[in-house]
Amino acid sequence: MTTEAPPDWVQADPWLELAEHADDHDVDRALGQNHHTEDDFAALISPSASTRLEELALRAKSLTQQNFGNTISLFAPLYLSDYCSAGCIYCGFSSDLDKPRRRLDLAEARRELEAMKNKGFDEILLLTGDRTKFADADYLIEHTAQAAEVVSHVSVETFSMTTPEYESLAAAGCTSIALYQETYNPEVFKTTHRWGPKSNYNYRIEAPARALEAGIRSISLGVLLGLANPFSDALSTFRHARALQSRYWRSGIAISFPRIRPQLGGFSADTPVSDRQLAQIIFAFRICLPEASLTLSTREPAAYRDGLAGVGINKMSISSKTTVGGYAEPTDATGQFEISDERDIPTFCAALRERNLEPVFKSWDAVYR
Amino acid sequence: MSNQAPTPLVLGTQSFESRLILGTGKFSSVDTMIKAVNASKTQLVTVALKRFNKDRAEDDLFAPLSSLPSVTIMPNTSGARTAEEAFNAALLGRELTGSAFVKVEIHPNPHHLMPDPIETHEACKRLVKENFIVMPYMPADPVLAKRLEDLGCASVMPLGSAIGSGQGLSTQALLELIIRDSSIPVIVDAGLRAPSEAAAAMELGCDAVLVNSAIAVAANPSAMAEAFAGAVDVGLNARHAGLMSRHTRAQPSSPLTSFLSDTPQS
Amino acid sequence: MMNLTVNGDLFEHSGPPSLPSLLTALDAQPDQVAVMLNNDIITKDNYSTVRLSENDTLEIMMLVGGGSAS
Repeated sequence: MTTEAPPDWVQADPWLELAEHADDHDVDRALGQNHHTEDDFAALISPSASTRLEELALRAKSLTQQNFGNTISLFAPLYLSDYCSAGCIYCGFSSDLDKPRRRLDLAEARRELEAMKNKGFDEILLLTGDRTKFADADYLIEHTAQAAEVVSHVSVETFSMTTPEYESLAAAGCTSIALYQETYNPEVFKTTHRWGPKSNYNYRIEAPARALEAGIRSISLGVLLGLANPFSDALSTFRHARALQSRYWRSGIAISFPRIRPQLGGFSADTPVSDRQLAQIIFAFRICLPEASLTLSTREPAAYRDGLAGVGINKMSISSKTTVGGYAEPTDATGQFEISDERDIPTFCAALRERNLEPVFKSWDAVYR
Repeated sequence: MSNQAPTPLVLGTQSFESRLILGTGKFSSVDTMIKAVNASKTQLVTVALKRFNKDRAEDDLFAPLSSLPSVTIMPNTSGARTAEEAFNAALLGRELTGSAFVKVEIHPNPHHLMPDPIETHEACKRLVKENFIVMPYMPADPVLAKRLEDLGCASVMPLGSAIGSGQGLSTQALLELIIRDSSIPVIVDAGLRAPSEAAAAMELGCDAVLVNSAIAVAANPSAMAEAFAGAVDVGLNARHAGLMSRHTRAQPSSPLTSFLSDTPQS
Repeated sequence: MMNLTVNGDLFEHSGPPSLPSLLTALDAQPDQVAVMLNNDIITKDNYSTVRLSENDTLEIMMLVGGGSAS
């Protein structure tokens, strides 16, 4: 089945005109609301609002403080496997890349988890490539169950699953799923996701709803900024978040803001997103989705991350390895993408404290699950 | 959008241009009530059921309301103290009027008439299954609002303040949460005293307001009905026009965005 | 003669044991009331077929004013 247009509920087109041509009054109106519509979001990502970035930042900071206090939640990714069946043009795990592949068995993963736990992490994001026989749903369920014994909060970022698979994952102790549409533009999606299960646009776009239906407590959405028109993709992400929030109102929503980074394969962004543009998009999300958790990874440079900590952003990865393993034992394997902020935990925490932000390693206990 | 054409209020399968719903109680006479209904240009009125009493045959509202072709009748379940009673009242109301609308109101405590959230939820669950267009009167509780939406209610009707109290939007902070989270129309029901409060409710983001006492006990009910109709329009127009920002444009001494470069990253 | 409970009160009905006959005795217009017989709603098309029995309980309702404040 070919998809010509995104589904209505994430369609951004009706708001693109406003996103390009909003005037000062539209921005005023958007800043004045308590409840924000697509119109407001569009106005806040417009060129007109880009001249008022300081004002947006002030609002974003005050809303971040209101909802998260003076804290930044920290987590670390653990890549379990880099076997992959998909051909994502921008990714260092793409199945056509000739590189040694590896997966952690349970004992290896436990050593990594213990090493991470010893560094202070209590929230860990488990990652794999697209579905393969080496890392399938059962593999993830097993590893989730083990990770839940070691840390309080286990998130999973992997291929889209069926509802029963998500149910098993939730039962194993997974509390949140990260699942990025990468782009909501079906044509760009098709050309950048060349083969493999992930190339099914519709199956992927429905996956967050399946996860929440299955009892996963929170979902993290996002696009890979730089792949397609970032403003259109931001609008679609906003609409997707809203639709999920309305249907699954007991669930948490998070948004991540990955920008295309250099990686093996040499892909570069068609529509690069500048520092100012990314900041503006983050501010717009904070203003329009005040309680959503907004995440910025180590893809971004240290100074940029420091600048946005507490000003929109409330959650960050640190001390990240994007290789399979690497916490317990050093590795020289190539990762999914290059990280930019390479500071260790004490240095990063000191930088946060200097900005009056308290690093938080643990957000909650899964006592009642 | 600021140049938006007026959109109708959609409740279940039916669209309404008017966003003022009238209650029909407490009027000095049926004739006064009908005049107020006409003056308000409302298209939806709620009526109660009472035991038939031949000595009060002049109280009957079915005949006079049926003669108004643009007005839809929404029987309510007032007097019910349990889900079971409300369910029976709703069936009787539909049998009598032929209307699929039902305003669920269950208030067991005669002192303050606060709605019972547990019985209301149960009654709505049963009535949705019976294909009613279910409009629950409810406490201004954001979680209950989503629970009622999940059941398939056509709207939620949180109280602005206690029934007949005339204390306006004393639940404003909670109403804002309900409005923000709701995917179905939010109608403020109960507590409004002055048209300015109806305008405020619409500015806040309500989809309609239900007014009864404030019109029924006004010195001139028809004139007050007209005033409320105008206020509802004014509030809705103001919301569409885009209210100005409440916060100031003050700049801090050390700007938050000074770390940003202007060069696009590649 | 038949003993009925109508709207909570005892009512001695002397006509035929049919609903139209009872409504006439009560001065009620059939299209302006709704009737519940022993907890069952009687739809209008069943008015003529329903037969009343000794000790039946009936609720006969009419529409009156009431909104957010009854």
